[in-house]
Amino acid sequence: MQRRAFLQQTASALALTSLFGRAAADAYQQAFKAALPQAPWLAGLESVAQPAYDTTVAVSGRWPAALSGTLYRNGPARHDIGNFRYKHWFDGDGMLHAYRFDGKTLRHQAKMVMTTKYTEELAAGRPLYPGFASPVPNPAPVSSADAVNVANISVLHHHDKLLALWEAGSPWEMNADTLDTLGTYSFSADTDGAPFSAHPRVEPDGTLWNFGYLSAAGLLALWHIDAQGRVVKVGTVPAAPMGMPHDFVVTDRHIVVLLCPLHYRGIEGSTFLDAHEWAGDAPTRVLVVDKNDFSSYRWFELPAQWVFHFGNAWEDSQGVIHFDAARAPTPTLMQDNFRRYMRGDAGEERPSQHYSYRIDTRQGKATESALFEQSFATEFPVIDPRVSCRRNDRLVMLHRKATSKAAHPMLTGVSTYSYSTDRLESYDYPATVIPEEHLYVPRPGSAPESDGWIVGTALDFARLETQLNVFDAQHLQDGPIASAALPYTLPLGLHGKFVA
Amino acid sequence: MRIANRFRPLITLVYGTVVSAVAMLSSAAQAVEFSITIENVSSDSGKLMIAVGGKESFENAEGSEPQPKPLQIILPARTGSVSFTTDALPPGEYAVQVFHDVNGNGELDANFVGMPKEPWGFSNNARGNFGPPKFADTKVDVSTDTAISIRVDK
Repeated sequence: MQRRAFLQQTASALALTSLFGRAAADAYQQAFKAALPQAPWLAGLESVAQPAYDTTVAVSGRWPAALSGTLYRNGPARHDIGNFRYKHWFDGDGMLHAYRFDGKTLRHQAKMVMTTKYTEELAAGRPLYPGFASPVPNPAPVSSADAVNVANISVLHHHDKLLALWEAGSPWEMNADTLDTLGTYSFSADTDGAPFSAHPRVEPDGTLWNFGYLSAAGLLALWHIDAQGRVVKVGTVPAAPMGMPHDFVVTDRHIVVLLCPLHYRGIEGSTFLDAHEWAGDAPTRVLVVDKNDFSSYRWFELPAQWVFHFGNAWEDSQGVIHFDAARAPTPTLMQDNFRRYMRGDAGEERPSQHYSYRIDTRQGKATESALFEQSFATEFPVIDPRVSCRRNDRLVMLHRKATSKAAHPMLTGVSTYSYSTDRLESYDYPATVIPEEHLYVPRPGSAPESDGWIVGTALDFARLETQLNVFDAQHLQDGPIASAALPYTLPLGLHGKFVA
Repeated sequence: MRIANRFRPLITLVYGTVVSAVAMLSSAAQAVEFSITIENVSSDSGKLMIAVGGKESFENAEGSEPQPKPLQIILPARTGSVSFTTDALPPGEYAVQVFHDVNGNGELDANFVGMPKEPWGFSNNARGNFGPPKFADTKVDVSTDTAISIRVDK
């Protein structure tokens, strides 16, 4: 069994230390193992059982004949190194998955992203570098962000390159067929090693925009790349005190970055997460940059808040920028809950609520209002990629209702919303299933937002399987029209991209 | 290579250039030999740009620039390792920084966000955390004759 192979691979790396006696499992590892039997949802936070997968299973239900392609997904997968367990969900080393389907079968392929950090630590059998929020004993100096890049957040398929993305360093190029790691990817000599965040925005014509943050330098880097992967322009905007922006939005004229007041205070003697301080009395600063000229920008203000993810943005003829986001009052989910998960503790619920925002560039004013009730928490908003950076009518997102009876603390279902009809449809997964990000996959040849499917993975911790489910985007609440189940569970991941 | 030119500010040697050696009033009795080997030089192209100085030339006080480094040396790059010895400095604590100016433009080339694109290194092979290392991590006691090696890397 491949699980054994992975354990042996790790064990041989540990053999030398074993001669001198192995250190006891750390407190997080012990607490997690103790909690798992009583809290089976923690299966989603176990270290991945194998370093690679290649499994083909039959699909069930009415799989749409026109739906074929590959769903690539990324996420933290290796949470333990020998007896050391990471202290935060986001520290886990990235694993890239390919779910390939042809209407009859689902093939699941996966491989660890062989980053420098993962490779060196696998050989050493112990952690060498400090993690995002995991201190390690006797850490090696971190000379650049790429030394600790775990490529674990999202994936981008652009100009025929498959890139595994982290947040603060280079993309990692992967072979799209074999999922072998090819190395860090550089768009050009002048941009080599610069931070490239995990949520680039790609316009329908392939034009790509991204940002990156340099906390110590107090700079936001901005990227403009054409459909062929050539750097059109890059620039920097001084933005101290830096926050930890995870995502951003783009309209046909502007780039919008929210700097929530989780202020960078210096990393000396702490982890990257702990180098930040929540300043709840400070505003969220909103940077609006001219897409044609990165040196032309303005700042707006919103109340203190925490945002991981945005849906989309567009701009009207009156110069008002509209966008939406899953908004939380504080970053407590990241600062507290995602640490607790690693020691088997769910913590208190920290729901985020969907908001819509308006930035009136002529009046110089930014405003926000809740889109749904507080009892309807949302995350992972996505859109039909054909309306990216343009006016969209529909949102697809995961949700959790305050009345949920789920046997886990994560998101519980998938929803669609139409602005024009103000109609919210939702499907709730069974109480023992945790949905991961669900994407809108257009029906080939259809008009934007008119016809398509919602495709996403989910962890069924009662049946101990990871599933892939397909919904008709027009009839979401009828439940999955087709699905496929793998004979194993996978660690809960983050973001994916569908490639037809 | 030996560089013994302690009182001349700019001297061209056969193999290298001392860009500046700030006059050190070190008597013969105080002179120490400081030997530095640069390792992992990746090519023969360009130059090795080396600067040696004390704490005041590496760490600035609040709101001020660091002092100039008293000894700055340019050597031609040679694949592998390059060594030199200087007795231009009085005994003390020093740090050494070096970069391989591969394209010979006299600058440490950086990408658009300021990260080095050419190989660099510090004494003690200190790498710093998301930036240059601190003097405390790079300092070398040169109270007597001392030899060190520094690895340059990107």
